[in-house]
Amino acid sequence: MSSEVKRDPDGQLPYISGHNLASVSDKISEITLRPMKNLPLIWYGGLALGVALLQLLFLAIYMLITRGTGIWGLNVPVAWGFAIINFVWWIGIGHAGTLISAILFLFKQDWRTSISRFAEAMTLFAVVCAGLFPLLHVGRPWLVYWLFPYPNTLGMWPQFRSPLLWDVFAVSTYATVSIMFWFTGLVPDLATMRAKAKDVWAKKFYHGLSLGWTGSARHWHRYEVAYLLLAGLSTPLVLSVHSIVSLDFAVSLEPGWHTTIFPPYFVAGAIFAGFAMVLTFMIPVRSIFGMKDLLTDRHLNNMAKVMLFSGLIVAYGYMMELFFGWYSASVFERFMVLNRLTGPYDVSYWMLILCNVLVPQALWSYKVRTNPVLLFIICQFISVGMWLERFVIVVISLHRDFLDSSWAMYAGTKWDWAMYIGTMGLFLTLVFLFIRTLPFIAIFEMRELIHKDEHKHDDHSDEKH
Amino acid sequence: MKNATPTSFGDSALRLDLPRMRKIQEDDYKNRDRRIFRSLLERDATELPVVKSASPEPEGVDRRSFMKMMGGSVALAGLAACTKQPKELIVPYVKAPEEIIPGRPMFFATSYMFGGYGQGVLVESHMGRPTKIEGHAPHPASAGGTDVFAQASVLDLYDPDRSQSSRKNNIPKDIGSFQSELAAELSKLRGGEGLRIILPNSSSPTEKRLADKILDAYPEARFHVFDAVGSDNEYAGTELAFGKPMQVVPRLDQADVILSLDSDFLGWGNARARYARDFASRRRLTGDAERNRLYSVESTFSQTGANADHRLPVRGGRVHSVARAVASALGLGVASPELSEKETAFVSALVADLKAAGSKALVLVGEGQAPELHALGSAINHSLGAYGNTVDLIEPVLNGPLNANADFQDLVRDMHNGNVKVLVMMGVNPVYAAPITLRFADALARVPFTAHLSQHMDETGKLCLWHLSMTHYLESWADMAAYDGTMSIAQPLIAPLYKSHSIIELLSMIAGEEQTAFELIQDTWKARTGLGNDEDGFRRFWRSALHDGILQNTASRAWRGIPVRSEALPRVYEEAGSDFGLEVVFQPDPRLWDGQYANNPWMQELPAPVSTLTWDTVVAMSPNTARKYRIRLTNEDVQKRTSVRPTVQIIELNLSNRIVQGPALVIPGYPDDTVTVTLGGGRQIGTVAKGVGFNAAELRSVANRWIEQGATVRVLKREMELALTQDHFPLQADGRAIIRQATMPQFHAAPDFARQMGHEFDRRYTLYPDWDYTKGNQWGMVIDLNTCIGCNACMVACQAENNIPTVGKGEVMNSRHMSWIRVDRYFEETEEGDTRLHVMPMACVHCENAPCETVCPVGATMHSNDGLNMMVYNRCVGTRYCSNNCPYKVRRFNFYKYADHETESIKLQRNPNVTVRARGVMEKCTYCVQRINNARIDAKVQNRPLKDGDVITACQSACPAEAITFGDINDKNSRVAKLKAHPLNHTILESLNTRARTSYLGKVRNPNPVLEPSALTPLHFAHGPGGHHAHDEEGVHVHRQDSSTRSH
Repeated sequence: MSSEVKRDPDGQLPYISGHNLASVSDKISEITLRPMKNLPLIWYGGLALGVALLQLLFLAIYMLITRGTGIWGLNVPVAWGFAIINFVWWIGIGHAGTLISAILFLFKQDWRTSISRFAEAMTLFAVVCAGLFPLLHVGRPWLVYWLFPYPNTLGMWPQFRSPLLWDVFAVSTYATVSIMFWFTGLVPDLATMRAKAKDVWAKKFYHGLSLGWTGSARHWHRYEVAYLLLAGLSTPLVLSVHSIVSLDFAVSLEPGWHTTIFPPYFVAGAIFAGFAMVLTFMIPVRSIFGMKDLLTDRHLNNMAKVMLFSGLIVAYGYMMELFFGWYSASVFERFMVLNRLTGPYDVSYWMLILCNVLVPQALWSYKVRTNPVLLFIICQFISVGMWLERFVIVVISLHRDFLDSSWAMYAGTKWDWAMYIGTMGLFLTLVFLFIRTLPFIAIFEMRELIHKDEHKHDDHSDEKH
Repeated sequence: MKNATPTSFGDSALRLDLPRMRKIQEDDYKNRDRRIFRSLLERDATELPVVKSASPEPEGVDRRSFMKMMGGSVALAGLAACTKQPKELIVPYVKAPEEIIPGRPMFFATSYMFGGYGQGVLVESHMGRPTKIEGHAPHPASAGGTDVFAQASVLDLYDPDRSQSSRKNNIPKDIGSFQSELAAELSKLRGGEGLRIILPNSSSPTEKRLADKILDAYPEARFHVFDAVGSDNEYAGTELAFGKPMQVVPRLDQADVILSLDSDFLGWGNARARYARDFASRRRLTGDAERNRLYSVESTFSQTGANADHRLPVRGGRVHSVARAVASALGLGVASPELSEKETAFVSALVADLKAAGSKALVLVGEGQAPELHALGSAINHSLGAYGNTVDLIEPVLNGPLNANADFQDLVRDMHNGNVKVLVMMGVNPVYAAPITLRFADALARVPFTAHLSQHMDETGKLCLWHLSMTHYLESWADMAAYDGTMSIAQPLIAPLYKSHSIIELLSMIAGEEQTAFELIQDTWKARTGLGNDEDGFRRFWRSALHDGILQNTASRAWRGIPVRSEALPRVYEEAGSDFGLEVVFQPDPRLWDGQYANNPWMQELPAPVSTLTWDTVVAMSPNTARKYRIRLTNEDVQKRTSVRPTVQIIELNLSNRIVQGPALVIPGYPDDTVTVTLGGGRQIGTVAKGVGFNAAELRSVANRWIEQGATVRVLKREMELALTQDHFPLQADGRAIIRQATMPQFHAAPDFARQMGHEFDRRYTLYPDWDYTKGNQWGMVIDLNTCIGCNACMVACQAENNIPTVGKGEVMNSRHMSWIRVDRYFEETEEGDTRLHVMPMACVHCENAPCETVCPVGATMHSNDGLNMMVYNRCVGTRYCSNNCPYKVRRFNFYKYADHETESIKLQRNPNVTVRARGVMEKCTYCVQRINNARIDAKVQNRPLKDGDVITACQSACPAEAITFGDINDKNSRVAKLKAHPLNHTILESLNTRARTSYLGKVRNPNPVLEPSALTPLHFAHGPGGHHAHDEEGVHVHRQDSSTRSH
């Protein structure tokens, strides 16, 4: 790193330093263009791990389809378990990307540029992982297309009152828009890659994907408009997807599910988890590929602040759950709260409080926020905590509800874990392939940032373009 | 339901069905060949001995010869496909038989023996396949209801493990050789000396006739009875009291006050279905009958005890002392033993009640108690004037010997001594079930010629020279007497599936005449009716006997005015001292009985009343007993239970060096210092039965068959998992208002207490308009918690009717059992420290505002116009959201492919009108929609509206206590509508606005105010009278259940 860093006028560290327009392009594109043998070992290791775990996923799916849902730990009353927990967990993780790209874009938060591409990709991959679960968790996965409203000779439509159906629309819309948004943002960079690629196959690959981008002013104009529109389209989706996922629970009458606070609290939780996951990958990647000049400590600081804020909303949600359990004066709600705090699964509840409420309080400190190691550790706590949150909501509510004659216990089986860990393999595989094949930081946006930056330091900051 | 007497039939070549059988009977039956009775299945069952391959396996195969062999195998495989299949004609009826309408069942009355006593049933038959057992109203032992055993018995017919042919030394051999061998053996005996025949308890006149015939031919032969349960003590006790063994016939509908001295008449009675019906008739509050009061002094936790108004759990040996105190207080001139304070209070209140009831009182003594107590009970009944009023005495209906147990000991002694040369056992399994002290298997080894007739190649059959396959009761003719002496002739519903014979056929063979069961029964009744020469008259008798299922007016005459022999009373029964050690109480298992139902998966998976145990037998004990012997109390702290599958410790019980090991199950409410073990576990045969539970016969002695003192306990280091369908510690979370109970005075003060205890949703707070349910038939159900005795007959009936699969122990432990209707059990600990038990049958309540329907994404569950919450199996993709959103948790999911699509014989049992569900779909109670539709079609054909009683659900029909009422709630005159208008009527979880169609009648107990003063305190409702529509301004109001139910 360069020893002397120019500071922003507000005294903050800059979002980018020591780069010019050319160097930033070279640096980012170099990772995808360098010969395979020059890739760091850790990339190979990560990909190998991902592919290995992916095989576990395939095995788990094979077992599930040939044997039946019974290989999981489900029962009656706990008819939803790991699959739904993991679905919500992955969907939550998939929230950071769109939030960073769309909402922060609309709010003109320039610092988002260096993380947006990566976060968006993670969103997509997380949605892929999430989408597997609702498709596979049903008793007869080969009929899951019945959830879609398609014209058929039976004259049957899905049942539009069911939140699961809303899920189908919400998640598929989110996935579609996220892909479009992500791909649109990639086009100018793909053209850059096309220009820089030496290998003939790589050139063909980028050539095809860049859709004939020439960088003309007209192209840029169309691009800017399209991107802005898509950002506008994505913004409500960030809020809607997890709201609707939360309605799977909130619409039911199960104590612990039937609560109006779920939509905002789920969205906040999703942002919380999503940022944690972005940081989980960002922190190692920036040191592996030497990107600390593009992914600076100030980025970490900003992201940690978002986490702290969303974490506080989540903590408020937990508080309100307890409060309304008591305030409802309903014996079932009160018992649900008591059962969470002191029941057989109390450890998971208190672990959740530790992970999601207590540990993130460390983020009040600037030193912690800019310390990559500590931040990484906190992010792991948050990821575990958010999984536990869904476990608490799904399992602890279901396992003891209205009639105590039906109470039972639940635990995931080895196939539950195999499926969960398997999707992590899928995620890892996709992330490592992405790092290698596409520029994981938006090159042209960085160049734009440098351009602005130079103007700022030339005391032309008031000059707007 | 109708009883059909078919008259004629078509002459299709190979079709075998009932009308054909009837035709055969009515033709010249004497000359007909019994082979006609055989079904096609018999040919498939022909077994061939396995012949070992002649060419030895080549050792080490090189590639070339491997390829050769493979080529050969492939060619041979092709050839094998050309194997000539047995010729089987599938042809439609040339002439359709009358009465049979394809797709519509027919019903036939028949009966079967349980413990020797006739049980009347009506059997549903689909195209010649018996599929379902119903109660038979004219039969006194059924009165229209059934017990679990009757319901489950149909599955035994199709048990794939059944013995399918006769075998000698376990090699199939035809019965002809058996007959010649037996004849040779018998000819060696002088006057039949050394010929012994063991029968089960039986009341069959034909058996008696044949036994007499055999005794005529072989005067030195002897007949014995083996029954692991039996009624020996009752007969011995009445003999003590009256000088003659008598059979006790309680009239429970006549009794105002009932004292049960260890008598589980609802679970163990000779006619438990009838007893339940009579008992329930005095528990019902919707009629005119006065409410009875049941006191129970018992050494275990029985169904009867669970239904008692006052229950005194004491050690088995202590029951006698309590009874003596009662007798003493009634002035019977017996010395009263010393009682504890609690016992004294119980006895004095009880005695006052008994005295007040006078001849309307009834004392019943359990078979597990010694004859002396039975005699004492007789004396109390006599002094109260109960005989002739609440209880009758009749001549024993069993053929005897009535001291079967003692007599059987003599037999075994003779066997040990080598005095038995030929032993024929029919329908009994003494190697498994005889108390271990008899060393029956050793004795059996000393008998040169042994034969065994049984439905299974069981423990006894394996040790016998000959095993013969026995018919199921639905395959054979029989006759028998019910508990009150009423005679019935049992007709078969299907030709024997295998080469099987009934007991009377085998007896006939031994007598050397070889008649068919049909001929034997007819001969008996020709003689008994005196119509032997009047062909027309006999035919009329025969047809009405078969049609009615009973012979009218054959009940035994009650003995009146017999004095109790005074010398019976002073006999002192010494209660074991306080240093007696642990007591072991033996009981027939409520599901497996003595082991004969152990290979019936419905029974194995049926939760036992009280414990909800499935797939095991256990050593049951109270928490105090467990603490005393340092046995860990599983799940004592419900809140902290952390293991998914609770394990229990295995303990070793040692009674005079007879040792068994079994899991210790701790259940509140059991008496202290005693443990209960049930028979029926530890079978060594059967794909279902094998290895389930432990065999209590290995702990049992012949001297103390039911209660034995002085056991020692060793807690083993091993633990095991039990499949309980419910958590096993007292639960009733506070204020849930699930079981709503009051005492009689409280009920009189506030008849609608049950509704007031709940909190009805205020319909003003819903945004949605109400659906119009005022038109057409609207189905609804009412379950009376006052009469429900928790016997679980509805569960088995539902399983049989609706093709519900069993899932096995592992899946029950995973909480994935499939019962559409379950009987929820709630323990309640009273302020006095007693344990009360409540039961609540729970199936889909068919909410008008069903939470499951709105959440299904594919519309697989929806509502019908007539108010049914329906499941469309074909449409279900299995998201299980409906189950999550069902507050009653009555939906069941096929996590695996649970239904057996492979076993051919099991398929025959299936109800053709109910889909067999595939893997991955949800299922639940349908209110027996197939029955509703049948009734609807019938009504339409007859061009009339449906009327009350046209639709009877399977659970309703099975219920011996008539606790379940079903019908059209729009028909204001229907029974169900009237019950819905009753003040006790309430739904549960009504605050959720589910608007359940199944409602309950609140539970009213009838305690003696002397023993339970709080019974007089009026209930206090948090929201005052009429509170179910009172709301405070916020509209948030949840009722806290009043203090009458102090809960855990």
